[in-house]
Amino acid sequence: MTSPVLNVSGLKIHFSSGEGVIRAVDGIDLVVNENETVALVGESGCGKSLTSLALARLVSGPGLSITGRIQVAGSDILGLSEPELRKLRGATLAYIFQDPTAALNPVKRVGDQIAEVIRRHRKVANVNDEVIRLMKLVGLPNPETRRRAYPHQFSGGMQQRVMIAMALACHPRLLVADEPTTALDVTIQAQIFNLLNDLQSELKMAVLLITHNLGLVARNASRVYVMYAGRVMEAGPVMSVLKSPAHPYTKGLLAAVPRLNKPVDRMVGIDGTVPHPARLPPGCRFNPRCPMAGELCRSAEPGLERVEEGHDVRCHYWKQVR
Amino acid sequence: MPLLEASSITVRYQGHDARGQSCLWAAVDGVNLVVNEGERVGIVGESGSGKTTLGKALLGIEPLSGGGVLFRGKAVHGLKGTALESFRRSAQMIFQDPLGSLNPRMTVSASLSEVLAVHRLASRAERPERVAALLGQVGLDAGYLGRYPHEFSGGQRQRIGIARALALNPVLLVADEPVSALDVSVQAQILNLIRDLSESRRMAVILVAHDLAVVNYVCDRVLIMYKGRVVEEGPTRAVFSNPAHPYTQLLKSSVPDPDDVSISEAPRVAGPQPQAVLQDGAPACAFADRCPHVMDRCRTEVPELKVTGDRHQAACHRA
Repeated sequence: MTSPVLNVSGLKIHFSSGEGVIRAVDGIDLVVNENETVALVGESGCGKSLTSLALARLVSGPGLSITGRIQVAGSDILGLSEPELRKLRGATLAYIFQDPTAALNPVKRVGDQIAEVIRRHRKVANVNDEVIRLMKLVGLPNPETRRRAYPHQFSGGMQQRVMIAMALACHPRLLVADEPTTALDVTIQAQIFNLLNDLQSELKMAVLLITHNLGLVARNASRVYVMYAGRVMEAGPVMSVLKSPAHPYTKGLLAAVPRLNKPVDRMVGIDGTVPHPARLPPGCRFNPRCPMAGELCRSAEPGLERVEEGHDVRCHYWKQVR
Repeated sequence: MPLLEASSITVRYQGHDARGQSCLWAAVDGVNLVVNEGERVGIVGESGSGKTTLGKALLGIEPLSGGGVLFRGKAVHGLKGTALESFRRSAQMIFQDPLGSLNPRMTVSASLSEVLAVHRLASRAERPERVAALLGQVGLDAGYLGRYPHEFSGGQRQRIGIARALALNPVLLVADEPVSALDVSVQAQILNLIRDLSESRRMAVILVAHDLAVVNYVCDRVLIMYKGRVVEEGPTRAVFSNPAHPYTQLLKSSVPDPDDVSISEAPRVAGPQPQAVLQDGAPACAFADRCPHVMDRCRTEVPELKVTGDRHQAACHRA
C-alpha cells in the first residue's frame, strides 16, 4: 500500500494564556489515503476546524505551540520554511470553507481569482483557457462570460463552485472541505457533493471532510474520526462507527439527529456543553456529560482501545456501549 | 373556529427583472393555511421559497398584497391599538439567531421583565418571581438571571428567546429556524422543549424550517413551499413517507440519512435555486424547469392543489 496523503500523529495545538494552557487540540492522530474521503465530526468547540487549519499551518494566536507531526504528501509541514509552505498551500493541499462570500474577494472578478491560483503555482500557456476549463469542470454555466462576473452576482451554491474551481486549479493531493455545504440548501448540497465525489474519482484526491452532519458522513465518507474536547474519541470505518458506535458521545450524537425515514418517539440531546479547553475535567473529558460515567471515568482518562480492525475508541466501558 | 386562517395571501415586492426593468416579484403567492388550537404546523422550503415571509405575514408583520389572515375570526392586518396589543400577546415569534434578538446591554432578568412591564402583566413587585418561574420552564437555573446574553451558549440563548415569548402566554408561537444555528446535541433539547410546551399549554406552533427531519419530529402537519406557492401539504408522516409532488420527492432524497451507511449518490437534478416568481410571466408550474417528469401542460397551466390522500394535497398535474 502507498503511504497516506495525510498523516498526522500526536498533534497538539496549545495556547498559553492568563487562564493557563488552552489545550484546543491535544494529541490526535489522523490518516487520509489517496482517493479516500474521511470525515472529522464533533460539536462546535471540539477542535475540528483548528485541526484542519493546522494542516497548512494556518493557525496563529498568542502563546501558540504546535507539536507533533503533520505529513502532507510526504512533506513535513511543521518543519517547512514559510516560502516552502506557500508553495504547498493551494497546490498540494487546498481548502473549501463554509462561507464562500467570506473566502472570495468581493471586488475581483471570479475568473481572475481562479487565474491567480493557476499563475501562482503552475506554468500554463493560456491561463484563460484553463480558467474556462475549470469553470466547466465544476458546472458553472457560460464560463466565457461568467468569468467576468463578481462573486455577489452568483448564488451561494454557484459561489461554492467557484471556491471548488480555485481549490482544484492545481490538482491538490489533499482537499480539506470544512463544512462546505452547511450554508446551502439540501438540493444544492446534494449537487455539490455529487460534484466533489465525481472530481475525487477523477483526480484521486484525498478528501478530509469536516462536518457536524452525520447524514453527509454516512453518504460520502468511508472512515470517520469523532472529536471531543481536543481528542479523538472514536475512529473507524463509517459502516462500523455509525452502525454500532462504541463511545457514548458518538451514540449521543446519533441519538440527537432527527430522522426523516423513521418516526422517532423522543430524541435525547446531550446535556451540558463542550468544556472550555483551559478547564478540562479530570479523567475522561466527556465524563461530566456522559450517562455512563463512573468513578473510574472521573479519575483516569481512558486510552484508545481497539474495538475491531481499524475501529478504535477512547472509553473505559465501550463493551457496554456497543 | 380555527385559531388562524389565512386565505389566498400574497406578498409582492417591487424589484427588477433580468433586463433591469422594474417589475413585481411574488414572495408569497396565494397561500391558504388553517391552524387549529394546539396544532403544530411546519413550513418547509429552500432559501427564497417565501417561508419566512409567509411566517411574518401570518403575524401581520409583513403587509399583504392580497388575501387576508384571520386570527380567531378577526383580520390581523387591520388591527390597531389595544386589539393589536392583545394579538401581539397571543401570537409570539422566535428567531434563528437569539443573540441578534436579545439586547446585549440588558441582563436576562431585565429583558424578561420588560416584556411583562410593557404588557402590564405583572406589577413591579411580582416580576422577579414571574421571571424566575419563566426561566425554570425553559430549563434554565434562576442563578442566570443577572447575566448578559453574551455569557450564554447558543442553546441557552434560544431558551431565553423562548422564555421571553412564553412570558405573554401566547396561544400561537411562530418559530423561524429556531435550531438551525445549534449543534445537534442542543437542537434535540430545544425541539423537545417546543414540543412539550406546545402540549402542556395547548399552544399552536408554526415551525418554519429548511430541515425536513426537524419538521418531521415536531409537526403534525406540513406545508412544502416552492417559489412562494404551496406545492404539497398534509399530515407530516403522510407527506414524508409518501411524497406526491416531485419537488418534495427531490427534497426528501437530497437529505442524507445517517442510518444508511452505504456510500451512495444524491439525486442529480439540474437547475437553479428557487427564487420568487415574476408576476405576469407565462402561467406555468413553478417547478417545471427542474422537474424530471415535466410535460407540456406544466408549462402552460398552473397546477392547483388537489387531494391525493387523507387531508393530503399536492399541486402537480400528475398527482
